[in-house]
Amino acid sequence: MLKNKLSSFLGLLVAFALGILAGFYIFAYLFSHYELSNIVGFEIDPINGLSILANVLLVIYVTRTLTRKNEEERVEKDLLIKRLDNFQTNLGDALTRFFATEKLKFTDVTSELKTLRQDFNSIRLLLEKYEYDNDICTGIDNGLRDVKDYFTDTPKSDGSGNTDVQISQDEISIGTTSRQGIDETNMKIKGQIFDLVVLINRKK
Amino acid sequence: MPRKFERSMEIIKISVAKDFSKTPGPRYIKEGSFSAELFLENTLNAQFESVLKKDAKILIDLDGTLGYGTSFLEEIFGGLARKYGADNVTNKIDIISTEEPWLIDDIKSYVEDVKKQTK
Repeated sequence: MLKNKLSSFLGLLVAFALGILAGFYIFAYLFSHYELSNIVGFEIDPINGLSILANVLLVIYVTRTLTRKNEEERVEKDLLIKRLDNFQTNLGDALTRFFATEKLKFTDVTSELKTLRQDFNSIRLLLEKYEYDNDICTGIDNGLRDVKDYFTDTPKSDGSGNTDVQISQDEISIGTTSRQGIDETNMKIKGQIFDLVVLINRKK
Repeated sequence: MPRKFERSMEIIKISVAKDFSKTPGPRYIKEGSFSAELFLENTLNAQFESVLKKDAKILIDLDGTLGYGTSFLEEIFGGLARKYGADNVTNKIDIISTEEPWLIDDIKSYVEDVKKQTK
């Protein structure tokens, strides 16, 4: 049994080898019109040579220029996105600190919010320079103004205005409605920053 | 030919940081220090009344402070508008705010709100 299997395997192997040899012979000697010469000619046409050289230099120049331009644009985009990220982090940190502070000083809030709004407006100037959407920036700026209103717009003596914020001995206390308003505004600002980042990344 | 004499308008300059405080506070004296009420009582009301009587203007410089609360600015400019009329405030007061240029629009809106309410 084993002997039969071995002989049929060997038969197949021999047939396969013969097939390869026959194929090679037919292809190489019967159908091939190519002949190898013992002499190899080497000629250079000066006009063709110059043309090839010019093409090669052009390819190198175009590739390097385009690559450099793309890299510069990417760096500018990354810097803008990083500044927006930092601003968002700073705003979030400031609000968390305000909420966690038991005796929240009025001047601490106004000075911190002034710095944040100045920071955003310096970013806004850059975004305007690179022609990014100004409406989103206006939305974020309005959001920052709203946050300041929630913290510092105390009611007038006739009782009108936001009665959910009180100031006594230079310390701010805000109610749940104002706090909710601040959280919602912060979420909205986060969404608008995300929209700006998407726009920056998409811009060609 | 007679010579024309042009009188230049008198400008009274008030810097909040230099003439009042670098840390302006809340709306009313009872709420805390350096309030808008105190600023009006000590400085601005008297100056504003004087410019109303003559060809003069007040130039308020908002720069140099640590920052303003909404109620401070509303009480000063909205408060003046409630007391002396919105048009008088618009005509007699100019504002400098290079550090926070957006405050000028905020202040205009406070004065406009008073104007709408009094109509």
